Amino acid sequence: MRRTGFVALIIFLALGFSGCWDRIEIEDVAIVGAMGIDKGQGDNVVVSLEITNPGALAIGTHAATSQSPVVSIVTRDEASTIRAAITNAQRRTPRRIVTGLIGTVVFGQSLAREGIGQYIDYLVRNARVRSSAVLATCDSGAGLLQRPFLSPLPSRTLAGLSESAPASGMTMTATITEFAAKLSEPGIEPITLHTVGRKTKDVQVKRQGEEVKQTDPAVMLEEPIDVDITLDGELPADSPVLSPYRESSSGEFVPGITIDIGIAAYRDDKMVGLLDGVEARGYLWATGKLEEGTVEVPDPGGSGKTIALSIIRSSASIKPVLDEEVVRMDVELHVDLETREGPLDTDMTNETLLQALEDSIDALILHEARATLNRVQKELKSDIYGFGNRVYRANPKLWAQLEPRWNDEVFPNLEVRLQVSSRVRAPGAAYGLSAR
Amino acid sequence: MNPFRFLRRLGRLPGLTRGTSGNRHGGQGFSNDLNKNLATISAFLGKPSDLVIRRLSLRGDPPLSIAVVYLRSMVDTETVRLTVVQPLLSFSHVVHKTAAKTVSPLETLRLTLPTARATFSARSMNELITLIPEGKVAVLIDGASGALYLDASRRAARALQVPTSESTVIGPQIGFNESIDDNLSLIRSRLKHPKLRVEQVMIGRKSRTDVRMVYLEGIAPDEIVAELRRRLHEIDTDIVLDPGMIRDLITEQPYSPFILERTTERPDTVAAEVNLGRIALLVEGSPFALLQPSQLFTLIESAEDYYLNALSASLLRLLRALAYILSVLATPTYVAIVNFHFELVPLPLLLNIAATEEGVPFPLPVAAFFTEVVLDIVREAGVRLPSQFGPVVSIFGAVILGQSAIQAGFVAPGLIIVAMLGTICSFAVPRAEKALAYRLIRFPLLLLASILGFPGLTIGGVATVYHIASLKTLGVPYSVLYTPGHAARLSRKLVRVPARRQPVTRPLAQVDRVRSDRVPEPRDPKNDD
Amino acid sequence: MISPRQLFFTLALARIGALLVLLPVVHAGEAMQDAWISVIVATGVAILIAWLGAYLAMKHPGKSLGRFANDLLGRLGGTIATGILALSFYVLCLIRVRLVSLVIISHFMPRTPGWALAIPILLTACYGAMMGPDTIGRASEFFFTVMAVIIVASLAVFYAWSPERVAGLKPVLSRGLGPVFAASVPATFLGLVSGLKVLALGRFTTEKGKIPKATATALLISGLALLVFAINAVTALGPAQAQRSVTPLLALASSVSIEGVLERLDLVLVAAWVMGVTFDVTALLMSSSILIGDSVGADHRKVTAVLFLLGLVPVSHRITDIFTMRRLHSTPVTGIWAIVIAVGTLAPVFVAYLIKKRKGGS
Repeated sequence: MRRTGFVALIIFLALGFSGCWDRIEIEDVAIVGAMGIDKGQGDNVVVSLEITNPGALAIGTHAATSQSPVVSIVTRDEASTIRAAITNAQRRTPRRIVTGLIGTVVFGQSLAREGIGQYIDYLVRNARVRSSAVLATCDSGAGLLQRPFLSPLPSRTLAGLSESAPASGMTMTATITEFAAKLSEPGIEPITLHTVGRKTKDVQVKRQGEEVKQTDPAVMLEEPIDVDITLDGELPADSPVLSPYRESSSGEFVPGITIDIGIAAYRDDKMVGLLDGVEARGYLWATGKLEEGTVEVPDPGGSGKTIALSIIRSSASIKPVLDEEVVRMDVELHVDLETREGPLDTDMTNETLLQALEDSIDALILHEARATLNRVQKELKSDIYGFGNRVYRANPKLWAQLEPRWNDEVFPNLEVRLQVSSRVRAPGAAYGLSAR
Repeated sequence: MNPFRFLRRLGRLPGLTRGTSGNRHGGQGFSNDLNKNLATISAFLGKPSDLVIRRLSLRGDPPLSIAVVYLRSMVDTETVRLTVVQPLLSFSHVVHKTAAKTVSPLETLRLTLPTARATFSARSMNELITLIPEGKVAVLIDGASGALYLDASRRAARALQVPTSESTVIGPQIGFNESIDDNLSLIRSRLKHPKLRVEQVMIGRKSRTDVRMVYLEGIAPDEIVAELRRRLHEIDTDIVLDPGMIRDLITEQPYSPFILERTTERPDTVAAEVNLGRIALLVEGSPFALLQPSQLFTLIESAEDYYLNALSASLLRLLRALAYILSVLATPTYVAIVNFHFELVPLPLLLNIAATEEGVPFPLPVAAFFTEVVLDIVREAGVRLPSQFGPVVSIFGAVILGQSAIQAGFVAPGLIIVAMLGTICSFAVPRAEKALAYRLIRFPLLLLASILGFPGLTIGGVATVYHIASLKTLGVPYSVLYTPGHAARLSRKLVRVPARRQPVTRPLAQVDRVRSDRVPEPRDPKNDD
Repeated sequence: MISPRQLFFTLALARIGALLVLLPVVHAGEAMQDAWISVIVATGVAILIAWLGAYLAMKHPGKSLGRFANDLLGRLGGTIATGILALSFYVLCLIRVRLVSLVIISHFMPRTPGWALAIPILLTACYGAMMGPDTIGRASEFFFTVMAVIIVASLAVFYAWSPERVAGLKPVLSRGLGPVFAASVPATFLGLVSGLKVLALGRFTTEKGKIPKATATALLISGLALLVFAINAVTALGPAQAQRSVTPLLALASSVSIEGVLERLDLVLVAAWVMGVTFDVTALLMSSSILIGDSVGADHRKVTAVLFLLGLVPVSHRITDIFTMRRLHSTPVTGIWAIVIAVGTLAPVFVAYLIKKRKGGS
């Protein structure tokens, strides 16, 4: 009897909860796939949200039931906080905006240079936003949300990019958690993925037979389905498609379909600089984060050709050497590589040749790592390597003394000894043809 | 040792008392006058059309008048002729002789029926009247205030057939039928051990059903056997037709939605379980045996498991466990995810789900509830109909109804897929009736999931586990996972251990141990001092 | 009756359930990345003190603290000693229900009122507690299995054992050992309270000799789980971030996704988490009602019902105060609380037991 009473009570209570407070029908949800945050007027932020229309995306019979063929729209709202901007967007959206599926958050560079602490706080504090979302810095946060590339959705493009771009060995991604952790830990500065929307010549987009010119940054409504992209005439000589590793033009709002990558270095919550291409790789060497990528060195055999090797793995051991007042970092880099491409008649099994090859790789890595280190130390003055953190862990008392002047005085003048030992692990799948 | 002797249940018909058989002559309610006795019997039974009163008059001086009384429908007439009528007629002179000398005509009769089956004396007229409808043949003699009876009963039974509710691909293909003696013979032929005990209990004031407890003495824990015996004797009901009715009468948890005790119509399963120390209850007129005590993990066991090799059997068990869980949780979890926690679904999948939900007018929980109910109705309809119509119903119900509902935009295909998955899973488990019972809790869970999402679902799940943990059969806990003992460990239940690795005799060690597992009274004076 | 193994499951599971919400060690964030050391300290201290309780339970078979405290200290003293512990259990039980409802609301269901979660949890706990220790013991087998699977699985996902992270675990002790000890206080307190449930559950345990071992192992195993989670949270989130998070474990889980299958691990974890907490609350409620029932001489089921009804309002009234909740698990509060239990309950009972034993011996 008592038991039935319990069951009845549970059911009764459950029926009482007729409100279903947080239940929401999936068809009443506006799913945000990516968010762009840019600087607005004064202290305002401009928040761009990519809202997808699942009905237009679905495969099969149900695409037909959708009212609108628009795959996604990008809203832009200006307000003093992200939250207020999203609320503004909600006023114009017939469905509840849900931030829980945001995969990428893109910060505009001008905003990033002023500091993004408060916006990181929004992302961390809001339990609905997943902390595994990737942070990116871009010339314009909204710009990246405009153009999809190899995918119907801009957010998918970005997610794919952050997943596959590290394969180039020229960048690394940071999630919200990682960024926030570095922000709060002593002696290490955060980084993010840096993406650059490259300006191309005006592109002609054939949309359902009709040609539309697409350079207008104010375009809010996109219909990228069945986009047939035809470039206007010949590819220009400076087309970023062919030469991707170039300095970026910062500050300017650049819409474009090609995307370039690098690493944005922060000091506290302010972006201080951009490590582009090889520079970013210099950073990745020194932190041992490189898992993929390509190294090119001249053929030690003297053919004048170039040998390309792919990076299999790398590691770096950073050891702080703390004397009385002198602090020094000993960084040892180990890199494993595999030969991928070279002149026909180079014998990769030749020991001396291999040794010479490894030596020249060592020299290249050392050069790249050192160049980046110099720039970070002297120019950016931001300890993205986490040297300070090593000092803190090794000797917290010393760190307490050094901390106030670390970034400005100690770190820029820190002696860092780099040692590289690379190993060409395999010749690839073939020994190479012997010289005739 | 005659099990009939000490287990004969006391008659419970109001106003009727009946003793066990004995040698005492005479009894209450009998008259010396045969005609009077016959009139009483006939009146009491309401002069049914199948009542046969066969009067034999034995020549002699004085002529002895004997009556044989039985119900034609319950008795094998040939047996009566061979074992009662013929001996009496052929030995009439002996009867006479002895009747003249000896004290009692009844004793004479007993001596005269040597070819008969065991004969008993009725203690009273009331007893005799309850016995005749059971298929006994009463023999009355003029001048004696008493009667003899013997058993010549005959029951209609179908031939032994393949067990329909528990078909297996391999293994014995014979099932019980409605005759309790046939069933007992099937069990005995599989366990020819002298310690196999069969105890008879008659249950039901009106049905007077023959119920038998079958167990192995020494293997089945004595106190559990005694407990079952006690409970069976305490049953006071009118009619018993199936072990299911007995289960309902002896269970500790009448309000639990779960059906704990396992019923089976496979003699091989009964033999295996009895060998493990369980007690089987056979009920006259039902092809099902009830196995007690029951434990949670018998849910995923099938007779087949022991005929396959260990690896495939283990895999099957894990699959069945998964099927159980899915059949209960599939729809509530889907509702919780889609309505509350869609963030955990990867975006491409979510977009697909969202697209299918687009334009469906009903809220998901409502649609889910009705889909589940309709699926159950379709299933029920398919089961009830003659087998020729079964496929028709499934085609109409599942295919046409489902397809049209989706096309008309009443229900989202995602929901149909998930609800169907749950239903199919419930078919994949060996015991359909239990799967049904477990599936009942889908509905409260669905409610909780659609109000509170995952937290609600978990709270419901915890309450369910508490309930399952509190269940007992015959005082033995229903769910025991880790209690030590050979056959008891979780790993050995989830997977089947190769036969060689198992001890030859595996009594229910865990039953013994957890038997003491009763909540001690909080103010037990023995514990206090 | 419950077996020592079930006692172990119950105690360990209840503590894991509690720590999954709180990860108390990170709350006292002064220790920074050395927080994990304080887990070891806390587990050690908690085992020592709880062992004392388990020893007492072993020496008084068939009795709970409610009964033998009365025997040892007299009616008044016994009632006070029992009352302190029983009340601690009860208050902690209520706090935990509030806390879990609060966290769910603030993380996942902002529009759901607190009582809608708190009351079902308390109701389920009440149901379980009324079913008695046997049921809880058997249920703990289920839950422990499920929890073990979840913990192992989530660890596999949470933590890629990169050498860098492991190297980060070298003790720094930037502010000396002080903060480490301070951080260990809440964890010690929670472990202690978990362990002391044995004073109520010991009465129902078969094989009295194994009670202390079961208690110590339970605290040890749950301490290990706590340790691993603390290390994970501290290394993956960073000490400051971990300290900042209302629930570090959820923050940690939300930063992990299994690509293409589960995007949000925290949503899965929250299910495990509600399960653990509900069980923990059940164990607390039941221990409390057994102690009170034995001390007063009433059926513990009735006491459970009364406690449930009394708890309805405090548990569900205006759940908005996550700050108070956090303060309740701060070092000073838990420290004083632990001392009150040690001095008010354990010490007098143990001393009285020793005196009685010496008298009996001489």
